[in-house]
Amino acid sequence: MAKLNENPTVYAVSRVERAASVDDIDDEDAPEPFDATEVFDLVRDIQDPEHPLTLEQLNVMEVKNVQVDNQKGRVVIRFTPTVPHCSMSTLIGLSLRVKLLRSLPQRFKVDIFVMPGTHMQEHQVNKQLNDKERVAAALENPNLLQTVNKCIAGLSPAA
Amino acid sequence: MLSEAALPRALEMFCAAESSDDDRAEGLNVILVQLHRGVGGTLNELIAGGLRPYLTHEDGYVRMRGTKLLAQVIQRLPDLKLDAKMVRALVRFLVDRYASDFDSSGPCLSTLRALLEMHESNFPSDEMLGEMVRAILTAHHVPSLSQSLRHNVYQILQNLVDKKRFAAALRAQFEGSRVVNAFTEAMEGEKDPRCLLVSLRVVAALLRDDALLFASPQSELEAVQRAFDVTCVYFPIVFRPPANDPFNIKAEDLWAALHAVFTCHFGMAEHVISMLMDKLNLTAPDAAAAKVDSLKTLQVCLVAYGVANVSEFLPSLRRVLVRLVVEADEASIADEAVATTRCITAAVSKLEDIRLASLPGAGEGASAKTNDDGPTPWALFVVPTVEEAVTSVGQVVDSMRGRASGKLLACIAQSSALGLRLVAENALPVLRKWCVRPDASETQRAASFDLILQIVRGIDRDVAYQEEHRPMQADKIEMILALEMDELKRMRSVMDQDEGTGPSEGASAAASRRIAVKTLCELIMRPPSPLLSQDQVATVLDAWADLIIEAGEKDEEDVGETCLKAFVETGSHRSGCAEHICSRVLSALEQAGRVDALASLCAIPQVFEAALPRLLRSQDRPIEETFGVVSGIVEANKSYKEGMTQCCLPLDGDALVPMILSYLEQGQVLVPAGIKILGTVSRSVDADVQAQLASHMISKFVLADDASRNLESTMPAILAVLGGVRAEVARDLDTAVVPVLEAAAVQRKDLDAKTARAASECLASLLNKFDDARDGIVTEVSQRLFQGAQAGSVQHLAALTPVTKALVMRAHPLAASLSDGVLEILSTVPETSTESLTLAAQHFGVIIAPDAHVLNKASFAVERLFFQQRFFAKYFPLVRDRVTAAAPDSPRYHFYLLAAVQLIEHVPRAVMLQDATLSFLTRALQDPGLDVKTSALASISVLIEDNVQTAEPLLSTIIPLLLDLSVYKPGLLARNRALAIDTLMAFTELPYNKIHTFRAEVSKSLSKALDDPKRAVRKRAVACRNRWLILQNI
Repeated sequence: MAKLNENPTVYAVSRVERAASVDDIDDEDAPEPFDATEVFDLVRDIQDPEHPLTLEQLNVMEVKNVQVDNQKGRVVIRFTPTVPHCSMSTLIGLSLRVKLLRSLPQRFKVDIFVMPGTHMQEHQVNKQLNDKERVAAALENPNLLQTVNKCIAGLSPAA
Repeated sequence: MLSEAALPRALEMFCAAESSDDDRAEGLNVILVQLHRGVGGTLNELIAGGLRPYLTHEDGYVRMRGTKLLAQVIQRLPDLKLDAKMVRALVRFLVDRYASDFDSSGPCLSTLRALLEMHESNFPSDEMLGEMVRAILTAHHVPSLSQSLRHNVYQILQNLVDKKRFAAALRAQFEGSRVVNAFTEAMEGEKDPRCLLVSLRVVAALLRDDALLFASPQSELEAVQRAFDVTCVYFPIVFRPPANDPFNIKAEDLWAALHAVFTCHFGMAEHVISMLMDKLNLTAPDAAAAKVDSLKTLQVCLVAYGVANVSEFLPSLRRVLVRLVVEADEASIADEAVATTRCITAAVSKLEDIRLASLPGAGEGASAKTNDDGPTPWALFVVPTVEEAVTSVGQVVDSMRGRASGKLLACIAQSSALGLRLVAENALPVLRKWCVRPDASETQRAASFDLILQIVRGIDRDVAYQEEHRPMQADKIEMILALEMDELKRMRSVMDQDEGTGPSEGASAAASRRIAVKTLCELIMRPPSPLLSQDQVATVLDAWADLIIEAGEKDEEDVGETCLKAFVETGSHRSGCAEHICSRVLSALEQAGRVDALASLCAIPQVFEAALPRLLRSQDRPIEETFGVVSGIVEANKSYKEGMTQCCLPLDGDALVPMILSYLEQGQVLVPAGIKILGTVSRSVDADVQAQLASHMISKFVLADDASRNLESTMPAILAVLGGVRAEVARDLDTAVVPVLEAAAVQRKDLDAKTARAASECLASLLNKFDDARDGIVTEVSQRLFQGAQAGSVQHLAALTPVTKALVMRAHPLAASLSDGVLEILSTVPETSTESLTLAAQHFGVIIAPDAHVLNKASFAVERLFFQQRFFAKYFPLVRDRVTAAAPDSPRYHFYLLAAVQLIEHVPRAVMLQDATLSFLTRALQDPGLDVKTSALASISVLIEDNVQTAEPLLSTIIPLLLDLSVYKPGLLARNRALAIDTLMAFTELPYNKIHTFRAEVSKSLSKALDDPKRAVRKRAVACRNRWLILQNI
């Protein structure tokens, strides 16, 4: 089957992710709140459903498009499909949601949107991704869940 | 003593149908002993006499038992004397029996195999061998035989093809295709891995190196095709042996055997390559593994066939490989396709190299793409690949295809000198266009510079540039240098534009700058003969210095950091660079106030000498800050002995150490960095310098009139110097230092606990190194400390532990009695004295734990081999017995448990794996005390890392305990929470049926760790929880 975007642009990954070693902790009592970089680190290596590339390499996810309010427990993510007619957008959004559902504490409310003006069916995709019922129904489908799991398993940025 | 009458009874016991297994074993033993001792006659007499009725019995089962006895005798008595006549008679008998009596076929095959292996020299004529082979392969339908029989058939054949004499007989007796056909019919459809391994090896041996004679080349090729048809069905091999497989058959063995078949004969080439191409063209989504295996096999086969012999396949192979790289669905396929391209290019380059050398006017001008037989492999494979890849790069360099084509170009450039030359000629002009295009995006620029770097890495570091076909012409070097230098100069303007560009563009701009620095570094470093002139190198170094200064201390994009790494690499390895850095770069960095950069450059020895005085003289920053910078420099250069000595001497001069000591003399409190410098320098200098420094310290800071008043500020420095002296220095030191240290450790109430601890460590270090002449001091001090501890003094007990450790390390006779005494204290001190009990319990762990301060090899401590193992072997059983004897609800139980788990935690890994039991540690994990829990956790993680299966019976107990330790609570360190999570993650390697019942519990409990205050713990919790959640999908 022909791919929707057969030859996408591959971007340089900005930096290696923030080191998080338990040996570097000086102050055991100082809390390290969630921030945009941490949430971005969680999703940057999700694999694109079509290509052996990460969402970061395709510029689908950028750290500037992640907003985190640790106090209020709110995460807002905006992603940019590589082409405006990309039918994989829902799958990408679903992968983002599942990954964050498994990785963030329950106190966080996560909203996932397509970057305004970057997709022809922006409104429908946003509605689908932020509707609990629809997301739950989608994840009931074992084939879809398997595809999402494959995307979440991720790639190293060098791949 | 056995009697002759015993033999008939033993034969009956072994052969009779109604005998039990025990009777048979006993009967066999009697027969073997009799034959071995020669009591029951020879084997010949046995067969003709007592065994004959069984061998010819009308009951097939009894006949089988008789034949089996024969097999057992020959297998178990390899020294049995069998002459040629006897062997011939046996072979004839066995061959006839195999053909005529199916019940006896198993023992017949075993006996024949034993005769082949143990009595090779007496084996009969070639004709009889031929009869044997014929009978074995044709008398019965081999695929219908049981696994053990088939295995014996293949093993007999393997013996024949492996041994020269038998192989020659086989060649003389049979037309090749008959043997191949008969054997392939026998092995067709084989599924047992043990049989398959042997049979594949036999097929490979039959077809290799003229092992057989064929009637015609046509029949030989038909035999090869027949062998391929039978063996190709096993490709790709998917074999996962169970854990602890008793047969020890590995997938790699099967792969090697199958590859041996595919490469055993050149006639295999067309079949194998066609099959592999078919596999590579599969479109099924689950064909990724088959494709990767096909590519790996292709690499093996092409090398074996020789690329020149398969040149007809090269064009189609090239198209497939390019497609797999450029349009890859899986990264693993693309990587393997690149590796295959590299492999083929390297092989083709060698051929092209030879061809060019043989052409008239060989060298610069020789480049004809054809020879008398048509296009060369080079023209068929490498040239079009490069042309196609360059076209892709020229279209869009930063697209998925452009980058994949770049990978192909890089791999060809790195495969050979010829490949590098071709890629440089074709790709560099295209890349240059991208680099200078005004409308090129930062991503495109970064991709172009990255590809240039990969091409430059194709220059061999070990081969002189001028001697190897000049793989890259001087004009190309000039072009690269100009492009990279322009990119560095562009920095300031791009930084200004960064404000207007998005983060990705900014990141790409920084990436291209970093890549430019790395490329220039590669140009300077490669190859042995310089590519750049000294002036060009100087220009590059100055540009790097400018970049470091302009990037500033924040250096968010790591450009300055990349420059510093390049400075250190070039300065350490390329002559002239260090001098330039000292003369030009240092002053520039100093003027710019980049002390951190200066410190990084001190990793180059010459720069260290030049930069250190500058740093010390500088008045721009507080002395504490200077010490912090210098501490890192000294640590990086501690192996540079000359430099370290210069830091010390003269002690009344203005070098680094005297400067620190004078600072201390003024009554100032030394920052930790200053202490670290003293410790590093004093441990890195020779013994005579150490002696001078130690004596100076003692006279100025220990024995001087007002020294005792300042001990709180000077003790860390005293420990840093005296704790790191060599044994030969320690034995000549003034002994007056001992009472001062002892008093500071246990008597003086005016000193704080930290000073007392430093004093006791310093004292322990000296006692560890004192020789026999000072043994009296050792005995007196340790006994005084022990008596104080026995009397209930917490200070004495605290000081006794390092002193005991010092004595245990050097195997001093007093050491055992001291630890015995501490164990006694642990048992007798009132349960209300928790401080004493804690110290006594920790005593055992401290003794065998690695010491980070002074009682270690870096501080020249005297250490006997296996002291930890000996200590553990003596005290662990004693402590464990006390744990068992104590009531679990008594306070003392906790302290016994603490002593036990700390012993286990710190004992060397090999001993821990042998002696520590998971059930004991799990018991410790249930203790309410965090110290016991965390110590047990450390040991459990080691045991589980070694063999996770050991935890299977305890999962229901251990998982809830680990989940409890994974959640944040005051006093529980992040390190321990992370360790608990890591251990939980290790359990996911267990079979799904063992762990799926815990899945929901782990997932729920770990969700609390997702909100841990520390990021490092959260990150582990995410990974662990995800692994548990997708268990069913693995």
